[in-house]
Amino acid sequence: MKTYLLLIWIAAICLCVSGCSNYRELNQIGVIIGLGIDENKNSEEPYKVTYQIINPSGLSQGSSSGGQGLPVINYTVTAKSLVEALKKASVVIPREHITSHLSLIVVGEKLARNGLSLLFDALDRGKQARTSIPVFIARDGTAEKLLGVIEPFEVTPVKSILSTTQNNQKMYGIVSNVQAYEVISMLLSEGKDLSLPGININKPSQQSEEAGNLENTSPSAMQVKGLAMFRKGKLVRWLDGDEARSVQLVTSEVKSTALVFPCNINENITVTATGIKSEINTKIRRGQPFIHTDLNVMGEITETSCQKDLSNPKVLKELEKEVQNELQKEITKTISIAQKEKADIFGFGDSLSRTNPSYWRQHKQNWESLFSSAKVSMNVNVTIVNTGMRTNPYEVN
Amino acid sequence: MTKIKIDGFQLFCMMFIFILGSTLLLDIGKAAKQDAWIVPFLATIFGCALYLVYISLYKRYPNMPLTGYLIKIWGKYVGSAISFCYIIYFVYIASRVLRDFEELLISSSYYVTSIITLGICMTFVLIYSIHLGIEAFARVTCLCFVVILLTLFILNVLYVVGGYIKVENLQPVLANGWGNIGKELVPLGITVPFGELITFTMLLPYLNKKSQAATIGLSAIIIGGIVLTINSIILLCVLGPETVLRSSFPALTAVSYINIASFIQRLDTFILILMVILGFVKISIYFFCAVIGATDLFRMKPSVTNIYLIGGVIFFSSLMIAPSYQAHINEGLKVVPYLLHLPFHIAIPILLLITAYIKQKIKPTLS
Repeated sequence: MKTYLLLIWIAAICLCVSGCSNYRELNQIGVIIGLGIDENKNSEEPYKVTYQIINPSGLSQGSSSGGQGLPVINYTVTAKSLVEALKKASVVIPREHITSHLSLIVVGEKLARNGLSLLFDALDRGKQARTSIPVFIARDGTAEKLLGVIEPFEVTPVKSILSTTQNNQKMYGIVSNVQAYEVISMLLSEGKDLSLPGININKPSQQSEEAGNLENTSPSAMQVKGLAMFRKGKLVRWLDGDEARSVQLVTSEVKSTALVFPCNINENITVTATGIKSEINTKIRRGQPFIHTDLNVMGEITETSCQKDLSNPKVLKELEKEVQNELQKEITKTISIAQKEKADIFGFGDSLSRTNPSYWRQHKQNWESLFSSAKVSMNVNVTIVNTGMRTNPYEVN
Repeated sequence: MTKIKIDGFQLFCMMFIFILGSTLLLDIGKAAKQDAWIVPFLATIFGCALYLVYISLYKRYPNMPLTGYLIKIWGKYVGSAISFCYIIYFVYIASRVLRDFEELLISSSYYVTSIITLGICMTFVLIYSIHLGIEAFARVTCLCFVVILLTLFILNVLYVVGGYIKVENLQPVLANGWGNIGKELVPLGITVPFGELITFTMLLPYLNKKSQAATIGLSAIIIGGIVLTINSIILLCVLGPETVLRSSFPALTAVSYINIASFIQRLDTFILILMVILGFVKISIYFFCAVIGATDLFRMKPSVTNIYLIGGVIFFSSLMIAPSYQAHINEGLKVVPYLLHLPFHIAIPILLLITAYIKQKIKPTLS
């Protein structure tokens, strides 16, 4: 008798703890992988939200059974708030859509210009999605359009954005991925303004959203386009090319890059940086903040179009000097742009708050104006470690 | 008093896990911002002092629980009344801790399960463990101890390997002076978790080697305090003071940041396992104290009905003490420390010790 009772108990417990009360099979859910947020013209419903959902049958292209349709499907809804949009999306999405696999957020440029403010509150508060996903700005366009590109190389647009930006950060360094929690901490920080990577479509055309895009050898694709500079959570201007790269150099987010400097008229030498390390240091001198950055770059000469005796260490020393000057010019230009826009995207204020907490407490209210008038100094140190497999370039006769 | 005995290492494991308890999860001293880690560090020192008070009481009556010698020292009426209050207090705190863990589970991964279901499951496990007795429970804690150490070690290694530790989050040290630290330390920092060791005055009589009580207790407090401090430093470094302050469960938020090579990620399960173990041990200890106290005070025979009754009370009050998590936490931070923790953890034991000391002085002259 006792054994039977025990068996019944065990069976009952097994039923309870197996977790089958709330199970959902994979073919019953729609997995949202990308979220695009745009401004809607109708002020009653200010958000236009695009959800990119995986289409499992489209993903399995390789299999013999043959998939149908494209690997992703985009659904766009307008709503008063982001959570409402998620619930409202059920009017078009046929399966229970879940956000736990969300892997990026794209914000339309218009919305970013109006200010991000509490846009990320729902994400921060929510239980499903996490805040460790990167945020991008759709430059000169909407997130809806951007997520709609039929990606030629990667499987989905979302994957393409992620891998392109990561690749860029590794190889050249215009942008660095910023996670949503970092965005939040920069928005609430008094000593650092936000900067976010910009993405756009390199060849905007109607075709980019059709499967025909795949039949082109130079199709429309995502491209990394500049760095968005924010002041108090509002996009104020874009930094492009070298300007954007200087920001990554100062904040030491870039791993490798190519530094080109002129050695003659129309002739250049290229130094590939292999190790970059920088440090931000803000000091107080005579009651005024004094911005200082140290930058150490280690690199090798990888290309030259002018004749120089590269086997001579003295020449290399001179070249190092020139690279230093070139870098210094670039960075000074970027910092002065930031000062003009009163957007401290480097975090000089944060650095000051750590080294001089008492000064910071008194002056943090007007840090913007202090920053824009602060003196800048820089210590750039470039070391050329080798010249590749050759010493001197071949001579053209 | 009884034949049940636990040995030194088991006591150490119990105390260590008890100290980590909900503190590991809720991270005390948040309001001190980047200096929050100083709070558990200083609290450890207070904790040692407080534990010495408990130990000197225990040394006078090594075979009696707190409820026993309360009556011995303060007489039948006052002593029994205070003992009774202590029992109620143990039941109440057990239900508070139960609520903490129910809320954690609800707000993290069981967001469609009802709080009642979780409460019932947990209460049954608790009743079962109390039913098996303190010896079995002590052996389980040894097992839990190993699991906890391993999990903590793995998580901390991952934080370091993944490069999530940003030491600049701790700077500037003491920018806002000692004021905030003081506010966090008194009364909350010293009472939770170290003041809560008052529960061990009920369990110490089961120790097999009486002389070890002080050294084992102190080492558990110091090691527990160090782990809490390290944990606090790591949370601050990973999250930054602002996020720690805004999070309901900083440990859970921090662990969600881990993403190493897009392969090691979503480790929330680790924290949940850790928390369920910690919660189980902590509630069990309060539960034990309530049961031991009740049987001792009312001179009842240990019976299963008792355990079921007290378990039921804990379960129901865990649901009824607060309408929402915010109300629950607010009560826990603003009301409970002053009205319950300070008198029950500090005032009464110290007064007891003083009375006992005076009584001892007077006695020889009387006789």
